Amino acid sequence: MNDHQELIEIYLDGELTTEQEKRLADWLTADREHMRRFVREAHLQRQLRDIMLAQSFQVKASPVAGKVKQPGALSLISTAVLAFRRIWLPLAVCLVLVITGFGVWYFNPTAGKPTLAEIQGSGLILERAGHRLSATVDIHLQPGDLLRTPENVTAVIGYAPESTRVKLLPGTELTLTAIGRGKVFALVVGKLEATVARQSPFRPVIISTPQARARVVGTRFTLTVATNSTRLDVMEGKVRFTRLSDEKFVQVTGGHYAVAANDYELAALPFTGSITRQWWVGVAGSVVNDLRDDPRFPGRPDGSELAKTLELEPVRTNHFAVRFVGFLHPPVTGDYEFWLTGATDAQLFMSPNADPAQKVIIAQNVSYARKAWDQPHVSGGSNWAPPVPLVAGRIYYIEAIVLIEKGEGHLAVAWKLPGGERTLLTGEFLSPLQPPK
Amino acid sequence: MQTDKDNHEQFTRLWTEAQPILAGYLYAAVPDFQEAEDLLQEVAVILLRKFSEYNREQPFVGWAIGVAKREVLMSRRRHARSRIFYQADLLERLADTCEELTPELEERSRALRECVRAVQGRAAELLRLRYEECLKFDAIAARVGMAAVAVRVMLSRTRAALRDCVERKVKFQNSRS
Repeated sequence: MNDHQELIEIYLDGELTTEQEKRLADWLTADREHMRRFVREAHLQRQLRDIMLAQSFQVKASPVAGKVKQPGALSLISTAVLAFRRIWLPLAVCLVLVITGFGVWYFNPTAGKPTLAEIQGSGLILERAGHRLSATVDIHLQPGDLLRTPENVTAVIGYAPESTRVKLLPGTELTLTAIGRGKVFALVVGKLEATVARQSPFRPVIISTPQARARVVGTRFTLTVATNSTRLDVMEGKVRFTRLSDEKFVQVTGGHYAVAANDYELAALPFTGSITRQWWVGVAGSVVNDLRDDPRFPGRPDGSELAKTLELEPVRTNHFAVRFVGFLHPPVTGDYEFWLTGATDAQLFMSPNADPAQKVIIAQNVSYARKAWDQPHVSGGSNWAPPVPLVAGRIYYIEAIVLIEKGEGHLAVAWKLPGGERTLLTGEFLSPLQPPK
Repeated sequence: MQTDKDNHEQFTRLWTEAQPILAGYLYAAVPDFQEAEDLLQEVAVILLRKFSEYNREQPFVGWAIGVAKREVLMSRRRHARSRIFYQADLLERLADTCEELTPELEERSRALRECVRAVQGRAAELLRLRYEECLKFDAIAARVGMAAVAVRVMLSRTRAALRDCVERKVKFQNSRS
């Protein structure tokens, strides 16, 4: 590429230095043909924009079948036209009005311009074209603006009059890439919470991170960027979440999350935080298998709630059974070990996938000491499950049951992540059988 | 006597023909897609309002570019970007050249639409990000996992290939006619 062609391209990319500006101006003035060349290049790039927008529209729009006029059918067509005018024209007009009304409602582009709506704490950084500006409430934001929230500082970008709000949590760096045609952000690091009012499908909110892209037309969600991963949690609505490394995407609906990272399967998974705990009273027998003979098991427990950990604190009772049931969300891919302690009789099941029908028993235990993880093996089973290979991004059915015949009973499950220490299994890595309403 | 409806129809037809040239002119003068598109909308509104002043004997594109030129000058006062077209004579020459090249540019647009179909894979994705989403090189690089300089080089080569393709098609067309 010659020097002047390069100058033209840099100019059209909006990145010309003052010295380059002067050289380009001199070159354009020197010869009429230079200006022609410049105009052709500008026209080519402007046309590329139209072509790309048209292609994007064609992909989004559904094809409409055309009607072909048959030769020789003129009289029939004339009759049809007359009938159309008399009867169908008013109906067609009404239909057009309804469709237009719907179109205005559905495609109406949101009009809000971004401003800093709230700032909590001091030290918010706003950079525009490399210059640091005073970040104050109500300041209008522009494309290219960079916002940084230090520790203990939060900021909210508002789009009044529409209700879209993007909240930057402490330690976040966000660039407003575009504001005119859709709202486009680049989230470099940190976490944001967003409430997005209904957007035009052709002007969605797009948030890019180093690992992923979230495309939103109206929803409430959080997006968290760590060193090597991006996590999306959707509270309401639907977000298209694309992993940049291979452009694979998943639709994430309310109550679900997805993670884009290496060695992590891209999937929409139910929120973690708790596991289902069910109980039955007055259960006859002394071992877990006796619970299976109870007609109320498993569909009609005497009670059910969400538990934050897979643990039943010591309880003095009798003929009482407790079942923890839900899904395990391994955070990394690798081999995991599991331990179970319970009194008076307890069993731990897992499935190689999310299907409860494929569950197998992986540990069982009769231990009277609470959290007695390192027990000698006893005949009939072990309270330790040897390493189980699990894949991050998949979920696995998990179930733990204890039957307390008489006296004090308890139950707990621990696990060890690849390369980690043994810890109690907590709700952070669990989701309930039925997501809470 | 022409009715409002006739005027409106005539304006729509003339505007549809002139719009790509106007868009190219404004983008050449204001190298920012969104700013240029905002200006294009403003120009369209002004042209429609002043359409009764348009002399039908003169080319519509020339009249429209004249109006657009004033809007560019106004815009220059609002947004201080590149100062190249602060020079009134250069802006004048840009307008003249756009008008002069109108038939050629229309021909080039048709050729370009055919040439773009041959661009596939990553090059096509870069074109989409640059021209549909209007992303700068850094943002494109972050999106596709390439270095910004590699994005710049690849886009530049793709445009060069498109230029060559357009030239070939235009020459071929001219040799046949």
